[in-house]
Amino acid sequence: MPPNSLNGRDGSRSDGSWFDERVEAYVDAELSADERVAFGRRLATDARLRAQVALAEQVSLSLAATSQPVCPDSLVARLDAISERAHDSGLRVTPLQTAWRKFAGWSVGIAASILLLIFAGVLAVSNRPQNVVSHIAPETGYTQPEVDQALREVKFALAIVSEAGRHTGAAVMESVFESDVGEASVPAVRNNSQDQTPVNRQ
Amino acid sequence: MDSTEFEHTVRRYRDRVYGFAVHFLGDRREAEDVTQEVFIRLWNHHHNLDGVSAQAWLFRVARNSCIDVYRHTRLQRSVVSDDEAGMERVAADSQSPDQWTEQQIVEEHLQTALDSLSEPQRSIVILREIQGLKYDEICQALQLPMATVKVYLHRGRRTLRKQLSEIYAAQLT
Repeated sequence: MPPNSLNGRDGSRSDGSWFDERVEAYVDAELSADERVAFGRRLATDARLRAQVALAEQVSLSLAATSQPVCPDSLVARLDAISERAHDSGLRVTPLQTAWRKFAGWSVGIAASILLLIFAGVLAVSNRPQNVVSHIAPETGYTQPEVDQALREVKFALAIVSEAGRHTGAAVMESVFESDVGEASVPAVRNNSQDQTPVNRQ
Repeated sequence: MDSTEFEHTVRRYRDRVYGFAVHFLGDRREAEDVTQEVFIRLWNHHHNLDGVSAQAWLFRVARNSCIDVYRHTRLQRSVVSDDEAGMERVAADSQSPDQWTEQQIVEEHLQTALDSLSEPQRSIVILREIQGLKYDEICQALQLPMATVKVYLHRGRRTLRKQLSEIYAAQLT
């Protein structure tokens, strides 16, 4: 018997969707007693229907038998750390690792911008014509040694910013290529006492 | 919910939330981040959860987080590739390596089929078929009417059967 030959509830509808629903209801044991008897009669004589039921049962069993992933130790340690912080402070808890990962994307852009600015600044200072200082108008009140000192201070500040940028870049690289950043700071303690409630299906 | 109840809730539901995220995303590392985020949100909203089912709330937030992650990271995913926990289960469950490998292949096919489902079919199939939630629990978690849940579950199952029919055909004949 082809799938669409199984009549609907009212005996007139014959769509595949209703057929699938009947098969699923049979597999889920959701048919009434009368419906189950009628379905069983058809099942006994219809090889194609049996194949459909077998497939539905196989898929359902496979899904139910799918291994339930257990939290790895690293995640358990992170969750325990969150519980401890909740106990200790009772305040809002910040997701350190996920926040850092979200920040990492921005950091690349920020670090690149800083490095670009530093490069442009150093380039501008180093290419500055030597006689520019002599063009300073006397009415500004700045002497040659004062201007030289200011230039040295600017170069010093740029060097500090450059060093900070280098560290930021290294940190970003570490976060991008070493995805376990932050886990080392979490105590590796696992409490094995789990309260697993058995699941009862409807 | 005080901090003691929070700790109890974490211990009770962490594996289930993690399992949902693993099956939804097909990526264990992303599932870890989602699980952590879900429980952080739980604590940060614990003042507003009186009278709310913790399980329903957790699965709802987990699903929303998974959707966010899924939208932002469309990477190649594999559940089997770094299944260290699975390797541990082999010893624990006393499965032979062949049995374990066969199970992994089946689960890989199942995961691929699950990945092909759209929302909310995927969430509903995972919650019903893998997590074993009752219909009313799924309705509560996803805030959907019963009829809608059943329709989506039916469509999801039908899609899974189509996806898996060729794989299971050899076993069934």
